Amino acid sequence: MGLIELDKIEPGMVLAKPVYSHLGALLLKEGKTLTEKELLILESWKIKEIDIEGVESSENKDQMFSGQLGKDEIDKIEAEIDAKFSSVPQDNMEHPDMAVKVMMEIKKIVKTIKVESLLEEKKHGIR
Amino acid sequence: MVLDKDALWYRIKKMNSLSTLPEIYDRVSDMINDPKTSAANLASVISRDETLVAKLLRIANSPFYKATPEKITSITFAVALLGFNATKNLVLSVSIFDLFHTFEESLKVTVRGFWKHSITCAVASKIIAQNARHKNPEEMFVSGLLHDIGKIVEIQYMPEDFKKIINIINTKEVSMKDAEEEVLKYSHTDVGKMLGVHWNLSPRIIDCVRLHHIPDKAIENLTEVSIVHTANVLSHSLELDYKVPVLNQKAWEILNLKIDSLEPILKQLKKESIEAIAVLFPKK
Repeated sequence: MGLIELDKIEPGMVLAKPVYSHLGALLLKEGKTLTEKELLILESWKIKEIDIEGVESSENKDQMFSGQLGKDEIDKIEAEIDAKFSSVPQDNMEHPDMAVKVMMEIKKIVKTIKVESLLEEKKHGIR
Repeated sequence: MVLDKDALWYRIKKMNSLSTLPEIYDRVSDMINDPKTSAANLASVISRDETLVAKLLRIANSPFYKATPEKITSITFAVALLGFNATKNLVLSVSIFDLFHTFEESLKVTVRGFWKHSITCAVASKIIAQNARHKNPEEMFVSGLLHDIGKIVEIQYMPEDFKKIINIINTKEVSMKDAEEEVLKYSHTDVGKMLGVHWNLSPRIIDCVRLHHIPDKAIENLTEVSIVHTANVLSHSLELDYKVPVLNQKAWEILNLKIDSLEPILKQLKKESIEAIAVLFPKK
């Protein structure tokens, strides 16, 4: 199973984990085969990504960018971010403290932004 | 030479270039406090300075500042549309950069970094204010812009002490505040507060300057302080220049933002802060 972004979801895929709304209500049960109807539900609840059976995660951006960015470049970004966010826990585990959760989310987003801007720079030949 | 707090207060009052805000800001403040002032009066005073007018209009229409969908084409229209206080904040946001200009060559890079961070934090404060449905995003912009103003006083008037502070941060991995306490016995938030009082800034702005590292100590202006605190965390997160400060739980709770809103906020911040730096603090 793996976390897949919504725009990459196709009918026929099977949910590996239940999907909840941001308010905590159960939207779709684990094991559900997705049809257009379920996709509409996910879309209208603005769900960004879901766990799908039998696929590799796209959450780890390394794979998506592997064609364009070298592992050393990704490692460098990660090391820089880890150093500056040294007080934020490393893993993606659930954390009871909301402020820590927010910091973990910020760290994740910053990584995506840095990778994207490095790709952008490469595309325009800045580096 | 290390100045104690009383000596510093004396010195701030004595500082030639700092003792008053730019003259135009003082005039605008005085006029706004005078109930007889009309929008036309205020606009005519601002209009005398053509360079200022050009800058004000450019910023008033920039996406990073813009509060209204209408295109603002004249100062008269700006005053009518934005109101007196927003106009005053706009004048302050534009003219603050003229106050600090004589720096040692070795500190030029530090100073540029300082203003880039201040502008990023200003934009972040405005974006968070809008997301948190705060009624006054323009005032939050100027509060973010001034949040670290005490640092520029240290750079300008205590360059040797400031270099010591930077050295301690880099070698001991401690926070700016701890390093300042070690060298000066007070921190940039104390200096900023003194300057804010001396300049007669609004108590809301002064609280943002004084308490942005400890938002849960705010009593009256908790929302505003929390906005600038969170803006400071987001700005450092994008800049990755120093260690990213930790978000305060109470500040996050009071803003009532959704965790999902962080991604659009950070992306907007990245885009708009680049634009804002290019307009407000262009590379010479």
